[in-house]
Amino acid sequence: MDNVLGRDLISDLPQSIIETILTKLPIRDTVRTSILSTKWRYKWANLTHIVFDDKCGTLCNDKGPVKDNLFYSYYPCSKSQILVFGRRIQRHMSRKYSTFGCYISVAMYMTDDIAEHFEQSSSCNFAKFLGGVPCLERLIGHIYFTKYLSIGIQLGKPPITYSHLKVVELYQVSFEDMEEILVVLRLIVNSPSLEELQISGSSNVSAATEASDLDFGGKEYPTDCTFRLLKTVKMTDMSGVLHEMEFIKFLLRNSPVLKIMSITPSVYVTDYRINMLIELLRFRRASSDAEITFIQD
Amino acid sequence: MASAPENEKNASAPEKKTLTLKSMINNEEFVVDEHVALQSVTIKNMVDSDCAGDVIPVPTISGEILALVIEYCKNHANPSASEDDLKKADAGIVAKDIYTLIDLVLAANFLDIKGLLEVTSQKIADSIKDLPHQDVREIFGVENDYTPEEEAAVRAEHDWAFEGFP
Repeated sequence: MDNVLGRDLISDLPQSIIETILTKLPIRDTVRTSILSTKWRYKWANLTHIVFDDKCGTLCNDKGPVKDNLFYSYYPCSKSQILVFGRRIQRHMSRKYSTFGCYISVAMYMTDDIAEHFEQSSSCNFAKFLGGVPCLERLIGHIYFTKYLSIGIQLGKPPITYSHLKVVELYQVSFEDMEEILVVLRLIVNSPSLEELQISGSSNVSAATEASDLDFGGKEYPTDCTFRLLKTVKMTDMSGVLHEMEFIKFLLRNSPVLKIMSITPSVYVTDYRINMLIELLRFRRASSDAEITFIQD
Repeated sequence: MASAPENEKNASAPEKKTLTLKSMINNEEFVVDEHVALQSVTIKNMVDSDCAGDVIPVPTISGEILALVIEYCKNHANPSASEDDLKKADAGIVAKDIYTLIDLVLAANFLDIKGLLEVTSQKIADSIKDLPHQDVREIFGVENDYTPEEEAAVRAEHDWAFEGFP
């Protein structure tokens, strides 16, 4: 592998080739290329798909058909990495995505230790992460992402309106955590173009049941809100706890063009299913076309 | 009934179309079956738009590299090759020195052969994985034009990535 001639073999390759090579490296090595020379300082930063895995991950370039998409999978291994990548992602997003429509998919995997560390940082992650992307069109948040956004969330007026956001998918949302519910509410209430919403609950039923008497009388739900374009809602892994049902009730009451509300109970919930159905029947629906489907495995 | 064997013969050995690829670096020519060559999106586009004559000139790619590319395409056009066979064959093709690998990745990029681009890039990445950046500079002949202060600043920005490296 020795380069006996000493000429630069790689710095002037087409950027697409360099990106392909960088995506094959562990993320640590990809980041380290920034020190090779001034030409290399920001080459890695153009990659738009960051996958953190248990070996610190790899970066991928955008393979999607649509340009300006952004995919993040976040698997932080240490606190310092979290901070570095938190900053990096924010800078990256505000530089590249503040004016274009974009599509963000984020997965975060945290240990309790790291989640705790997050909670100690006082600033509002929602504003930091989503404050700079008014043109967001589609948001997919996997495990822990809603939790991440909920840290430091402040009540009051949200920073921006997501007038292009049409599709929101959030997975493993804990309805026993008030702040996570606030994240979801803040996001959808400020997305007047929302057409499709998909949420999966956290399957941790015991925690959910215990927490069902949280102080949450529905006062956090805005009363003057209408989802003018919301047509499809899919709720999966529902355990039927109060806060989930309140949330479904809120959507049904305020979505005049809703076509489908599909609800899939968690596999761990068996006895409670009938209670969920009875409760669902009572909810008022703003859309006379709305079909409620209860999907049993 | 007499014509049956002839029909069979026609069915089992249809006339194979071939294309001639010519390296414009050393004028070496390669005759390959069309379906083999069409794995290159660049060549496919030329053929589809009737831009391909009897001989397709391939600029900037030497005969040596073109032979490797064709070997790759032949392997991957063989319907009876198992995934395992292909993996082994790919590993053989990319078991080359760094100069050949760089030429090969450029050829794969120019001819738009995604699979070859992937395996070649992977091989290049594997060859620098876990190495200190000083070694990476040496392997690729990258000249360090940072001032010591700038270099320290870049390093400090991503200190976690450099943990354990000189």
